[in-house]
Amino acid sequence: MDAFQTILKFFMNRKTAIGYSFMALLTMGGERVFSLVAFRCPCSNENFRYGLVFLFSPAVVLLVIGYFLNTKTWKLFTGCWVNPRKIFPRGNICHFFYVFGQITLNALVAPVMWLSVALLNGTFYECAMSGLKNPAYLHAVCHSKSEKCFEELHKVACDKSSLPFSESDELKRTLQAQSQILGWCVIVTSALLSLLTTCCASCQSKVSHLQLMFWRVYEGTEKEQLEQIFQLYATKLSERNLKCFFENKEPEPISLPAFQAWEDASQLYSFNSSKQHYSTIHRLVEEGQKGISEERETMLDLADRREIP
Amino acid sequence: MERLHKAMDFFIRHQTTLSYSMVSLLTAGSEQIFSSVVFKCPCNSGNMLYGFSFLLAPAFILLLLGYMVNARTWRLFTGKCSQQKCLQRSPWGTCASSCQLLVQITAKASVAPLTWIAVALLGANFYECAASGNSRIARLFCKDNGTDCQNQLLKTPCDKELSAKISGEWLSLKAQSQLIGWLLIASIMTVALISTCVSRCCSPVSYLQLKFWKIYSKKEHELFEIKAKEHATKLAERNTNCFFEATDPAPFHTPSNEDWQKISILYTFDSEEQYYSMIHKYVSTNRGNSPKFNEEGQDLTVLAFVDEGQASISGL
Repeated sequence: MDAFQTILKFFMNRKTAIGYSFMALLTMGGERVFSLVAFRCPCSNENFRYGLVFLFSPAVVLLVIGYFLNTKTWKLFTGCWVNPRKIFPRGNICHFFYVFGQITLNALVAPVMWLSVALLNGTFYECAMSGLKNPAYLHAVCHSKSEKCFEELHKVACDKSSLPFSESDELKRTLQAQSQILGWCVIVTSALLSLLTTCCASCQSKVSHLQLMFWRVYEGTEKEQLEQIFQLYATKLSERNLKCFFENKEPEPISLPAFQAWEDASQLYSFNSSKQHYSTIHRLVEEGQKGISEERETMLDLADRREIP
Repeated sequence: MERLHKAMDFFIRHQTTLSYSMVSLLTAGSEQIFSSVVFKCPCNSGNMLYGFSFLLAPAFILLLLGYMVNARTWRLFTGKCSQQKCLQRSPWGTCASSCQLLVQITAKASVAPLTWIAVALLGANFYECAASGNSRIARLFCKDNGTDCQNQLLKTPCDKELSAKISGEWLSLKAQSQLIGWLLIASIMTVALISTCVSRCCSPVSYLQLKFWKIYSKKEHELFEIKAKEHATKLAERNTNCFFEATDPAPFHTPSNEDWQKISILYTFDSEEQYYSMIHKYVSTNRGNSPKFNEEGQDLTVLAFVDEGQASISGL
């Protein structure tokens, strides 16, 4: 039992890395399935549109799913119609775009993975670019080939052209090579950008490294405690209500937080280095339920476990 | 059951070596997959760009991943730009120690990229494709500088018999690649051995004390995790209960922001005072208030393990 606990602990400690690897494997598997089962290059003048749709629509779908699954999105938008002050506190427009930008960066991970895997495979790009009717591009690809290359490039992907085998094979290889080099560029650029943004964010953090670690642990435990206490109070309240309904008794009072308390507790938290608070609820409890008057300085990004000023 | 326990103990004790070996095996495995499934040399003028991008881009990405995963990187960077006062040192001293640290972090992060490059060179596909598009190699192989010969060289990765015809008395491209691969592996091993010897030689602590210190660091990090979780649970319970019951919170002591800043500084060793970590120094010098707390340590060449054990708590 002890051994299993140790193994479990080992994996739980690396759950971010394991989560990303799993996502990468899933993307690779999905791309393979798509390109083998669903993708059939039409080998006509519609190649370009078909290839681009297959390349970009799954990326857009993954982006939307990324937005859906991020809890920060819902924290930001819930109740915004009734109270626009939530999104633009005291006319501070930047806050909304800042948080939305963070959410978008998180949601972009899966689409970028899809794009890089699809480009490394080469099937979609090959189909799309063989149908591109741009004269400069056609000249670059067909420059040392026969005349037929210009008219029949779009049939090369299905091996239906009348070009000799060596030429059509070389054309396919060229298109695939372009696709794979583009794929590597996408991966290298996004890896470099994400390392640089994380370094900059870490650098400007007003919280020291160990305190940041403690803060993450605290956020996790507070979430668990909230779940438990929600369950507890929900059970108490519903039991009381149903008991009074069926037995026709007067209800005993149960204290629950007021409407304004819930509103205040649902705000996104930002760290203030002059105070010692680790979450909105912590601050509410210590300072009473005043409005949020301090300047927003730092925010802890729960989904990504990084702090960005 | 006993055997399982022994095996687990073995794995835990040699965790570092095993994780490096796993990384190397994974890199070698994925290189094989790439070179057999994904890699198709275009056999035209784009050979060099294609071959080098397959050789170098994954290595670069692995290097970046290595930086991201190493806990010391974040220890070095967190809060650097926003620190108003430098708690201890002169700017020159800070620069020198940061550079030293960066070199150590880079050395650790280079394991996977160098494995990739070495395995890719031994596999020979990528180099063969890249070199066949290189004009210098073409001049070596084609002494008469004929464009015909150069065009044929471009096609060699796709056509096996052609490569034997062209290379003549020079080593074929595949052989060159494997030779370079072996030379790379041998030189990396030599450099690693020499640098470990030098760093151990310059270590300010003796062998047994170093061993004790490593064990102390690990234990302190494990206990930090446990205590942090306990403390966080108590604080969270108090807060959520007060929120629901609308009562006043009972006073609860938690370390202040300055205390956290003090213990998050990178540790430097001082042979007069024998502190084994920043927390040790902090609690022994009256919670960082005595002047001894701000005294500089001597050097930190060997002390990679002091800040590293927190990889598990850093959450990546």
